[in-house]
Amino acid sequence: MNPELVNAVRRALPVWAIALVLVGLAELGARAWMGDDETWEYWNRTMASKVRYLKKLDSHDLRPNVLIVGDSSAAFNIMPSAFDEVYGSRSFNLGSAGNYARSFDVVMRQHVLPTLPDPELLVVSFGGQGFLPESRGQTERILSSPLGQRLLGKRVWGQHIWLVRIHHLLRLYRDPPVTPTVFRNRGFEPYLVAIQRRPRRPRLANQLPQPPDFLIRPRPPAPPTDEDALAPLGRLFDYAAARSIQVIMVSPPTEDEAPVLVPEIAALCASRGVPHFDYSRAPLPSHNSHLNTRGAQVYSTKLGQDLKALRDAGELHPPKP
Amino acid sequence: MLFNSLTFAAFLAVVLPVYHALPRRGQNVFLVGASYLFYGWWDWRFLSLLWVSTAVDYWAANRIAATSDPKKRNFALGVSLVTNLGILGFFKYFNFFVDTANASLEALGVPFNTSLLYIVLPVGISFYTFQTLAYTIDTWRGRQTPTADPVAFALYVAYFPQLVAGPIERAKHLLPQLEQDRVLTPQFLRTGITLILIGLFKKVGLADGVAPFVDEVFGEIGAFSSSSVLCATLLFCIQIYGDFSGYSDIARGTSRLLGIDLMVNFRQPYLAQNIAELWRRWHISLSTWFADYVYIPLGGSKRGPVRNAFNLVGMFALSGLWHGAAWNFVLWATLNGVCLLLFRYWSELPRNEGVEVAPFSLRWFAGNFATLTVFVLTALMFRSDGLAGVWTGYMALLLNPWWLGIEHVYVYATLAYGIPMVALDLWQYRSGEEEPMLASGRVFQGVLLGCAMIWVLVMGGVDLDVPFIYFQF
Repeated sequence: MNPELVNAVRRALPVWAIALVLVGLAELGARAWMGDDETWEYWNRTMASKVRYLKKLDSHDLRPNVLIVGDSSAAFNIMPSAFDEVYGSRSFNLGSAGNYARSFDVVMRQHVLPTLPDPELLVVSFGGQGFLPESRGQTERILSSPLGQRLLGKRVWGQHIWLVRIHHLLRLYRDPPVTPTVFRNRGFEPYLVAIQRRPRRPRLANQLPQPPDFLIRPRPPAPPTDEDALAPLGRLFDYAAARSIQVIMVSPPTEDEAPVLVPEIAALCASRGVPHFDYSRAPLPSHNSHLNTRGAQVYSTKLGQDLKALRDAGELHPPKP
Repeated sequence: MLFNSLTFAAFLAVVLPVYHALPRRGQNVFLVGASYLFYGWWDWRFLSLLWVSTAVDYWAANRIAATSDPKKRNFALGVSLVTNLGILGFFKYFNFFVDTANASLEALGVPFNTSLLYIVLPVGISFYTFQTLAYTIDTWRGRQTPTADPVAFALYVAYFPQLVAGPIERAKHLLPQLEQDRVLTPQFLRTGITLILIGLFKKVGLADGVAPFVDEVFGEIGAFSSSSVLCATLLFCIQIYGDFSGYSDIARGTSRLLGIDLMVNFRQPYLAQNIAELWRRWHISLSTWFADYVYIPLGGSKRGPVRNAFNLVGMFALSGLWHGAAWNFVLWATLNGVCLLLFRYWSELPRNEGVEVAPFSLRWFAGNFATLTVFVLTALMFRSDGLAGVWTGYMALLLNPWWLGIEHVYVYATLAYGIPMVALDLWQYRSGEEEPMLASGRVFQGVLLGCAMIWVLVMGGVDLDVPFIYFQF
């Protein structure tokens, strides 16, 4: 080899050595700072905060016995405090905006729920469009998060390099600032208020919805028009059945702009023995399928009442296998 | 394969030692094979287009040089033009023209509905067709002697470092290097590796880092505040410069490791003092191509002011079409052409003629600010999704509320990614060197390299799979 080239390479070695030492030190610093933080993989700060807080509750023996899961119809419409007041529970809202069926199946069912203590009851809420294949919402963002990519078997450098994890943590803090009380899930209402402060969200008067009885009585199951669309829901029922977790399905009291699959959902629930409450039959005024604070309070109270009646009648149980 | 991928690193790790162990003739044959492998990695089917373009232009140029009969020369040139522009026109513009015809005739009430075809755009087609066209046209003009070495010519067309996103090399610069012995000098080794590192920093550390912010705002631009739209447009300017100049740097650096020099494609365009200077510094290989093969043949500035205006703005409009088969690209480029024309009129005023502006003087800053204002405001068109997206974007910029409470993130991002980009450009501009860090001590170089690597890991898009923007052209 050309001796001048060899000399040039030798002269560059100290440069690379200094650079690699710096990177190594930075990596050690990142590991020391982040510790065992697991929230860097999530797609938004709210979800990362919720999971972290839920685990903290569990470590203090305050684990909730009711978990509310689903998309924004769960996250923004079901108010834990109003629900608990009526149902007599300790509930926690794990809903996430845009977490439609596909991303829910990958991230929540396969990863988040198994890492959390099993609740007694799962309240599942999806808008009908959440099951449509063409509905994307923030699903792609959720699936392209490090957690989503890892669960889909894709390469994620952040798994091995803590400096890249910092990048993802910084990305999380791109979300709108939330009030301090979001960490107390029971105090989630101010977050709903923060959402309402955004422009173009009308102030809406709300009343108790009519009719009062929203429970779908079991009827002979009809084959779903699109079996694939509801497959994630079926797998969630399988998960709950295996762990003896009671499940109820709710269709939120909003009018979806996209066609809904409520009859198909009802049929699936009936075939699995899962109670299904269809509040979309008497929708409350909403914006973009989201209620305002008052609407969420009214709805959550009603939901708590209906569930309490079901529980008192002994009709709450895990899904059929 | 992307330049910022392990696959390319592995490819290079194999190509470089084998290449340097071979004699020149063997080097050319080996590089041709490696280049075909590189290109075929995307889609092997499009190798056929590359081969057709290579064969036709090799034949055409040699045919032109072999005869003095104008008819035969013109025929050969015509075959080359039809082949290259035909390939480009079909794969890139067929659906665009059909769609435009459908919309126009429908607006006129004439029923016309031709179906669109599902056509995949071959990577780099806009680049290598222009490169081969330049070769044939220069031969026809008598400015270029065609090569009799088919392997050298095939390598000139398919040379992998610059095949898919430029720079668009001229035969006069690249072909002689391919026909001569190459030596990897220590200077080429140092500057080549440095250029690759600079390019990776610009691409992964800057462009890929800002990509999620840009995509987020432009994905639903009507819903964001005007300050968010402005920040996202600034971030897009960072993205496209980092992406494209980063690619060019990596291409040139890789080529230097092969002992071959490629032309400079970007010279700190955001430090231009006026719009004319910006376009002399931005995508230099494309600008000079359009000047030499469109503007000057149309008469340039030599046929009166009206014709000059038509030639200049028309050239820009065509270059917009080159960037993409969509009217927002044409609009973007045409507006820049108009601004350039207006600048020329302004600079020809008696009080402005011959005025020298010192870099970083007050007048320089004023000119730079005005230039960047034009460039940034028109960049919104470039990034928008069609003409409807352009309209929505400008309405959001002008009519939406200025601040909604979430914009701080975009402001921080603009500052965080903008400052390193400007700092690097300023350093290169002031020193007149592309690799100014090589003049510093080794400790400083090590610290700088370490900081750049940390930056890329923390702030860049290491976990993201963002392709080079200009691949779509």
